[in-house]
Amino acid sequence: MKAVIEVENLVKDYGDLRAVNGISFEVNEGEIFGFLGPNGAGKTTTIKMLCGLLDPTAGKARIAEMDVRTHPMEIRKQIGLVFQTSSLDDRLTGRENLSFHSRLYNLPRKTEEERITELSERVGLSDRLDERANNYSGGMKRRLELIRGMLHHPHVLFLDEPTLGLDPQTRSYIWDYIQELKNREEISIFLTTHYMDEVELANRAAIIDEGEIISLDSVEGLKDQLGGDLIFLDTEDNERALEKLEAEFNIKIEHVDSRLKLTVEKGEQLIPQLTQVLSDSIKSINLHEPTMDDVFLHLTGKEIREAEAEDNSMEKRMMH
Amino acid sequence: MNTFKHVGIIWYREILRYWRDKPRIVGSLAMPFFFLIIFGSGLSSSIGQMMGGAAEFGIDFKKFMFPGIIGMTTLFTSMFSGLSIVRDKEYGFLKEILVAPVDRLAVAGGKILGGSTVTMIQATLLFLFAPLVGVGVTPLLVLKVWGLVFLGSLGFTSLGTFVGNQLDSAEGFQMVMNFLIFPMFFLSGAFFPLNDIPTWMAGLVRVNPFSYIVDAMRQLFFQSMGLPETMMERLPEFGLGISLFNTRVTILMDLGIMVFLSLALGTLAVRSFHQME
Repeated sequence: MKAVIEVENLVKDYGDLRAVNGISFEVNEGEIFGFLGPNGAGKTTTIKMLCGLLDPTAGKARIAEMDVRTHPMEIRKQIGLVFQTSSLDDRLTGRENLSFHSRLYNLPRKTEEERITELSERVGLSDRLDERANNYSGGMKRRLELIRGMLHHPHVLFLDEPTLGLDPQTRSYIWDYIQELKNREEISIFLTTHYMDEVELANRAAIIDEGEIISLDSVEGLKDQLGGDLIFLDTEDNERALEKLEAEFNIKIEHVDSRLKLTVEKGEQLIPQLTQVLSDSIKSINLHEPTMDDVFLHLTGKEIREAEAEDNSMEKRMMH
Repeated sequence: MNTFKHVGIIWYREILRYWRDKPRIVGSLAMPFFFLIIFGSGLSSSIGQMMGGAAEFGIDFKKFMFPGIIGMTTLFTSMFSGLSIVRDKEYGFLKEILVAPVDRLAVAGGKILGGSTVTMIQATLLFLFAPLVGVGVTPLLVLKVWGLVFLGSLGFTSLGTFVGNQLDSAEGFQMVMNFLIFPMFFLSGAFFPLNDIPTWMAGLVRVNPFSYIVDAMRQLFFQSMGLPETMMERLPEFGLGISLFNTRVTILMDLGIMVFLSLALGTLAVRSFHQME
C-alpha cells in the first residue's frame, strides 16, 4: 500500500515547551487514520505542521511524496481541511463560501459549478445554498465546511475534531455523511478526535498523549491489547463460583467490588457455557466489549477526561 | 498570474462584505456630517477670523473644513479596514485563507486594496454634503480626489491591517486605533488653521503623515475654487498649508510623502502576513 502521509520523528517546541515529541507514522492511501488524544496532546500542532502552517522544530513530514518544508504550496493544493472551530464567512451565502474556496484553489468555473451541485446534493444542502451562512444550524455549517474541504479533490482530508460541540444526533449524521463522501471519492482521511467512539470508524489509529504516540495499530489491534472482552458476573456464592470456573476454564478471574471480572477472548461465546456450569446460581451477567476509552485508560493509566483537565494549563500556554 | 487573480478574489470578498453591511455605509456618514454642521456652523465666525487673507477669496471655515473632513474619512475608514482581519480571526475565516494555496502577498494585497476601495467609496459619498457648504464640485476635482484618497489610503490601510494582524479582539483593535487615529487627526490641521500654534505642536504636525493628505486635499479644493497661485504660495502663512525648511509643501511633495509611506507601511503589512501561522 502507498503512503500519502509519512512522518518521521516530528518535533515541535514552543519556547521550552515540547508540544510534539518525535512522532512517526504513515497514513496509507484510502484509509481513515485516527489521531486520538486529549486536548493539548499535540493533535492540532501536528496538523498545522502537516499543512505547512507551522515549521517543525525537527524531523520530517511528507505528503504525497512532497516535503512540507520545501513544497508547502503544492501540498496545500493536495489537502483539504475541516477545522475544529467554524471557519465560514457568515455574511456570505453557502454558495459564495464554496465559490470563494474553489477560486482560491483555481478550479475552472465549470468544475466549480459541477462540484458545488454534486457535493451539496450529497449532504442535503442544495436547497439552502443561497442563504447566508449565519442562518445555518451548527450541523449545516459543519456539512458546508465538510464539502468545502473536499471541493478541490484533495488527496488527503484533515478533519480536526469534526464534530466538536455538536449534539449526539448531529454528530452521528455528520459521520454518516463523512462515510458516504469517503466511499465516493478517492481520499484518505486524517481524523483527530477525543471522542472515543469516532475512532472506531477509522481503519487504524494512533493514540497520542503529551506529544508522543503511545500506541499505533488497527482499531481492533488496539482493543486486543486489553486481552479481550470483559464479563462481570454476580452469583449467590462468588467464592464457590470462582472455584468452579477455575476448574472448568483456563481464564483470568478477579474479584472486583462484589463481582467477578473475567477477561476472555470471545465473551459472547463463553456466556452460554458459563450458564451451564453455574446453572441457576447466577444473579447477573454482564458482557463488556472494550471501547477506545478502555484502551486509553489501559495505555495511559488515566481516563481521557482526567488527561484533559491536567493538560488544560499546557494548552493555554500553547495558544499564546 | 495566480497572485493577481487571488488578489482579485480577496478584494471582491471585502467589497461584498462592505456592500452587505448597509448600516455601516449610512452610519459612517454621520460623523463627518455632524462635524461639518455642528463644528462648521458653531466655529465659523471665531475661526474664520484666524484665516486672514483667505477670506477675501471666499474661503470661509466650512469650505476650509470640507477637504479636512474628506481627509478624516480617509484616515478613519482606511485605518479601521484593519478590523476585517480581526473579524476574520474571530470568526475563524482567516484559517480558510491561510491554508489555501495562496501567496501571502496576495492576501495582504487583496485586503489592502479592498480597504482602499471602501475608503474611496466612503470619501466619494461625502460629496453629497458639498452643496451644504457651498463647495463647487467638478468631475476633474472628483477624479483628483479619488487619486489622492486612493494613494493616501494605501498607507493607512496597510497600517490598520498590520495592527489587525497583531491583535485577536475587535475591542482591542478599536482601542489601539483610537490611540493612533485621534492624535493624527487632531494634529493634522484638518480641523483648525495651523497659525499661532505652539512650536512643539507645529513640530508634531510636520511629523504626522496624515497632515500631508489633508494638505494635498485642501490644495486640490482651493485650486478648484480658483485660488490664484500667488495666494497658494502664502497658504502656510495663514495656517492653511505646511512649510518644511521654509519651503511651501506642494501637492507633488505631499504625494511623494504618501508614496513613501505606502511603500513602507505596505511592506510592514505584507511581512506581518508572512509571519502568520
